[in-house]
Amino acid sequence: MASITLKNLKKVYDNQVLAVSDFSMEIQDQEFIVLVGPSGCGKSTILRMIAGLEEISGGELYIGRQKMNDVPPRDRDIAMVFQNYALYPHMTAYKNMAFGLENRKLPKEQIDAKVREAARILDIEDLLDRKPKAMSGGQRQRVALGRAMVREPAVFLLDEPLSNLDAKLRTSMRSEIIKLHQRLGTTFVYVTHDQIEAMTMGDRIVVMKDGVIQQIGTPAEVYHRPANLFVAGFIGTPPMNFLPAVLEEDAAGYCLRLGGSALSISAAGSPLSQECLARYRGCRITLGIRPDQLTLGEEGLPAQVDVAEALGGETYLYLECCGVRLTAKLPGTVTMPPGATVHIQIPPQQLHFFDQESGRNLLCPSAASAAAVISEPPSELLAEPQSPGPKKRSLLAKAKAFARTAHREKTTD
Amino acid sequence: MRLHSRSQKKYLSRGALTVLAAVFAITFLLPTVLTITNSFMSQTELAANYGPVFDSLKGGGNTYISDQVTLKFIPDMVSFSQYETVLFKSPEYLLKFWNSVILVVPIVFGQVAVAALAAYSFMRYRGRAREILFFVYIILMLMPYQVMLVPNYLIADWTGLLDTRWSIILPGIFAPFSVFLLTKFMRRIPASLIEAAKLDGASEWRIFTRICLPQCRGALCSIAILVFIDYWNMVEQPIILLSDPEKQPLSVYLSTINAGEVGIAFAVAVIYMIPSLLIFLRGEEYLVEGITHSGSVKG
Repeated sequence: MASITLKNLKKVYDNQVLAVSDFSMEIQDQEFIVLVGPSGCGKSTILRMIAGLEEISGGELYIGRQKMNDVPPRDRDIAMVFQNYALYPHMTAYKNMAFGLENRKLPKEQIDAKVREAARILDIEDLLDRKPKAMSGGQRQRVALGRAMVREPAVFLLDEPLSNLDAKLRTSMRSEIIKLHQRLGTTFVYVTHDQIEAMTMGDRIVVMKDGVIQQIGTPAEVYHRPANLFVAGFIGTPPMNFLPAVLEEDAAGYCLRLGGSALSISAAGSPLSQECLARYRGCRITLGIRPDQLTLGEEGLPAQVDVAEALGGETYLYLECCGVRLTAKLPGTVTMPPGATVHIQIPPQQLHFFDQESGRNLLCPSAASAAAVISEPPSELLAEPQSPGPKKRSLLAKAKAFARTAHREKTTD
Repeated sequence: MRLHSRSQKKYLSRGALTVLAAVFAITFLLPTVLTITNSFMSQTELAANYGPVFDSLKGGGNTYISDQVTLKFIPDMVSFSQYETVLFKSPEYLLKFWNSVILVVPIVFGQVAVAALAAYSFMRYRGRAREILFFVYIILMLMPYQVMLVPNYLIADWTGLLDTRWSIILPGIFAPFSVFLLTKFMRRIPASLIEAAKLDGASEWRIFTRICLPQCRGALCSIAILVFIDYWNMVEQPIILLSDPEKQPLSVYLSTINAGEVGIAFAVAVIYMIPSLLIFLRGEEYLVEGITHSGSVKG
């Protein structure tokens, strides 16, 4: 068992691609941390740097109190579960699980006891004599977990371990892993691009994009107080609705002008501070509202039903409102024909307010959590790479724009 | 009607192709079948069939095949006299067979071992030096062996290995083709397997022996078969590098069997074929697997 400290970690690949920039965080002992983000955001690179499979270009990595930058993987006391399970195909499940212990020259009886104990916990005792190709995806996954378990490592690293499983198995394996974490009481670092996994499994979630941390927080914090537009859009199913609006002052206090309609928010009842309201008066902002916060009523913003998806327990209404597409998550009893006009009610206290340029959530306390992690635009992001491809160029341009905006925001604050 | 003619055309073309394939098959099989069946003929029967050919040779003429040759496939009476002579009465044939074995076996094992180690290095270590070295290997592989004979001869002479079996064994062990084939095969092994082994605490040697090699069993077998067949049939190397006839392998000795011993030549040829045939039959599955996987993988 050990804590992990990552200090300004940076990874630049040989082709000058910056995968991770200035990544700093403290992972507590026995904590279940989930790194989540879209493909190519650098989450697996972080995990591989912790494992020692990827060289660290800059910064420091500590496991416990020991600096691990130059320690080979086998001496880091970690175990990793790979996305493709990485089971040795020529070995039986038993041999796969025993291999790590044999390398450590443990007595045979001890190896046998550990393997059988892990197999009992994971309910794979019947599979011990089978080779991976004779197992299903779920069984392979269990063997991979067993292989990691028997070593009793200080840290468990899991790299999208459920992504190759079908939806049903994924759900059951999710709870298995949570139970395993509770049982073992070891530090878990889990990488996924599936925000449901992140929300359900992690003690804390690290949301990443383009190699930069967007937000670190508990699932509830990340869901209810997303640091920026990216986090708000990434976390939550269906994703948060965004509407462009102008904050205006009126007789009753303030109102948000959405196309031809206006949504009144009284100064006292507004989730935004007086200072913020005054600062953004007359400015364009982006409103965010979760689909489950939208309701239908006699009054409200007029919207047209595009599609209604009845899922039994709930209905998703895809609406056209103020020139934007919105999703409403309603009770399963609601039925609407396509083309019908409805009135949606937006509770102002459930609204999120985002700066239109930086994407920062204006409700976040001082927006510090976001600004702190995207503080300085990394010089690598601003410098031209040697010869990036068209895709990388586009990503780099986006990263540059984001970094510059974030930097500008911070300096104006 | 059109459909009918189309299917007719299809059958006709398929039939023509089958006939063509049969002709090729017979052309290839005929000498082998002739060798095997004729090895069971008595000396008298062979003389009756091929007498004129050898007469013309004895006369000092250059004609090898004459008009009077009678190709006979089925012996009048099965005789093992040729085999008896080869196996029990003429030890020099077995000696040559043994010469072939002691030349080829070290080459096969040596080449497989060296290729496995080299291919593992090519798989594991990345960088410009690796790419250049691998390119050199490919260039060497493309060169026919005959091109390398003169340098090999000079080096063998310089090192004092000329007229020793090492002059054939050493260049045989360090052949580039196996390295190329095995590298291609090893690159198919997922990197995550190696990484998992590293995290499991395996040393580089243990990763090589316990993870990599077992997965390359097919490729290793196919390389061993190809190398065996290649070196079992070698002629140029022993002729140039081994001047001592006592050390010559059977492949070279076969050509020196004189005309009067044609029956023995057939029997020796059959005995000579057996190891290659057995190895091929035993490892055919691996051979196909090794070659197809090596050819289809990305580099």
